[in-house]
Amino acid sequence: MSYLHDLPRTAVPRGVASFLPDLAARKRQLESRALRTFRQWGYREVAPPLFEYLEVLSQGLVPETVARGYKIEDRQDGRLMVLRPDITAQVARLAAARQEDPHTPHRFGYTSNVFTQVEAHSGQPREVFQVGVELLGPGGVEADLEVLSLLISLLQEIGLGNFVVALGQSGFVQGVLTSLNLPEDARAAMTQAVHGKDIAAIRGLLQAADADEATCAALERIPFLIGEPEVIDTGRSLTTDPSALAALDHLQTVVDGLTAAGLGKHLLIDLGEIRDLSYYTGVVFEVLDPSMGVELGGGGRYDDLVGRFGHPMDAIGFALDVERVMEAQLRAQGPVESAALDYRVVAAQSVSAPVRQLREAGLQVGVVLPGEATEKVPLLQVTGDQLTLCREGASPEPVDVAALIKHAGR
Amino acid sequence: MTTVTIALAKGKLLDDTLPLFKAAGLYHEDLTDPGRKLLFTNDNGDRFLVVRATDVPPYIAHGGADLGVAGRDILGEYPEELYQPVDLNVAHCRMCVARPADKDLDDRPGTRLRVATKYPNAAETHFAAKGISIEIIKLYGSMELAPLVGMADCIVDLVSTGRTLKENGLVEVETLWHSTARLVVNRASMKTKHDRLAPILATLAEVAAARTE
Repeated sequence: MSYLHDLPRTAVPRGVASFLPDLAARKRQLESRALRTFRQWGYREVAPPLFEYLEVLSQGLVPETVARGYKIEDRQDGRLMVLRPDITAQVARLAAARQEDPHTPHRFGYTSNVFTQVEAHSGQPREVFQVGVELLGPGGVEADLEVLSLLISLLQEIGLGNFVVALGQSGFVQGVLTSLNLPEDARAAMTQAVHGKDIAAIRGLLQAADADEATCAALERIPFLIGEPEVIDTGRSLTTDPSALAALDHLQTVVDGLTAAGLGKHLLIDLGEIRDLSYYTGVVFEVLDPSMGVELGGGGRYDDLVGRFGHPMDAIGFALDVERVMEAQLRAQGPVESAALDYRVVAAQSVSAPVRQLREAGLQVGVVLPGEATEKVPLLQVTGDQLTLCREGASPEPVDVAALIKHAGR
Repeated sequence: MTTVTIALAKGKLLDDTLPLFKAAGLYHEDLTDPGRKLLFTNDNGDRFLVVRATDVPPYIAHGGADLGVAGRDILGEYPEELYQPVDLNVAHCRMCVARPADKDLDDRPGTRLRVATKYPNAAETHFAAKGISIEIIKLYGSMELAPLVGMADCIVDLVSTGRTLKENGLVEVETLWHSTARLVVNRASMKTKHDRLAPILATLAEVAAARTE
């Protein structure tokens, strides 16, 4: 018997799942909250398509994302398409397509799902839900401050008490590496070794490159310069490369700005954090929570990306993994009681004037079908404009709409 | 104080690394003879997990443990990148290609070199860089047998003294790289528990560097 015949009749592929009502409600609540905050900050929602031309979108993707994308063939023109693996590249593409003034800021927010192939049995999802923003147009430290302030405000609003935003500046490691003058292969290997905080690999590459003592000391320390903002000063003492020093000055300004705004307590500096050097060009950050062993999200400045779609402009953004944030929320706040119905009515009365009024005021009034268990939700009887409340084990009492709304406190 | 969870590989590696962790203040007396127990919590609240060597990387990657010990051979086969902040300087060995002493690798019967190994990533990377097409036969132990019975042309395996190879009539022809045991740390813990981890990492690095093997 083939594998296909063995599939249970209700099976779904590995790495995808359904959100049942309680989880779906929490997901919707988080996404709505994020979109509302984005709107309050002037970020308008965009909804890019589910699939795009692979060769177009690839211009804005790192090779691993391209490799892990789900490709489908367009039967109209024979080209390959990819299920969206990354929203940032899509937003960069649509910003480039609009050909707008690169000095005017464009602020976009989104809530969307992305798709990625994963290793078998790695425990990773293949559909990932994200909320995020992109600020395109002008670059610079003010834009960095704006996006980081928005991120930290959002994390505070959604009730993650102990979150950490680990902040780095990819220009620092980039500058230090440039002064090493490594051949291209060795440079790529060293970048990966620094990113992986892999001390044995770093030592091996330094030895092969015959690097001087000061460079060795610097590169062996940089991945571990983690902590309070003072580590930026330590970073300064380890290099003379002008672009690396400029990156640290930039980082210091961002940190000072966030601290002055009262957002400093969630910050942690990690000077070895570069995320992906082929993508990020300035500040980079990841969002962490002590209760979770994986990052909740992250982002950074990517000034070279939009230009790859033909219309250069600076840009910075972040994305949060909705399911991971939900898990962290659950760990921080415990399970939230899901909202039950306030009242039930029979189908024939479900659109009567008083029932409409109750719903408009935010009450949840459902229908009870014959024989349906009502789970202790009181029944309302409508006679003309008159309402009668029938509670289990109590005699029917006349009530009015205003009293019910007031009682519900909505 | 922040507590940490440590994933230790059972077997010889456990004996080799316990003194290092003890020096860094991470210790539970029952670890010298763990028996069938798998989880130990000491008076500080730090937890020790005793798991199979190949299972250390997933424990770290998924946040089941904050830090752990794994050989380069095992990390090289694991698909995700884990922080490796300390070379523990124990469990020295090398990944190598070995073949029967009386056979030449250029003198094989088919178009593809048949390689028996427990380390497909290592083998694929090595031969791809040399432009040699291979066919991997994944085995879980005693790969020395495969070329002896003619089902593989060579093996890619971790060698420490080389005695097993010799006793089975195999010779090392290439060394891919040298391996040691590494301290591996969860990416998030490295930051969220940095205050606790930084002194542990520093002590481990110091003690490991002072070891001579």
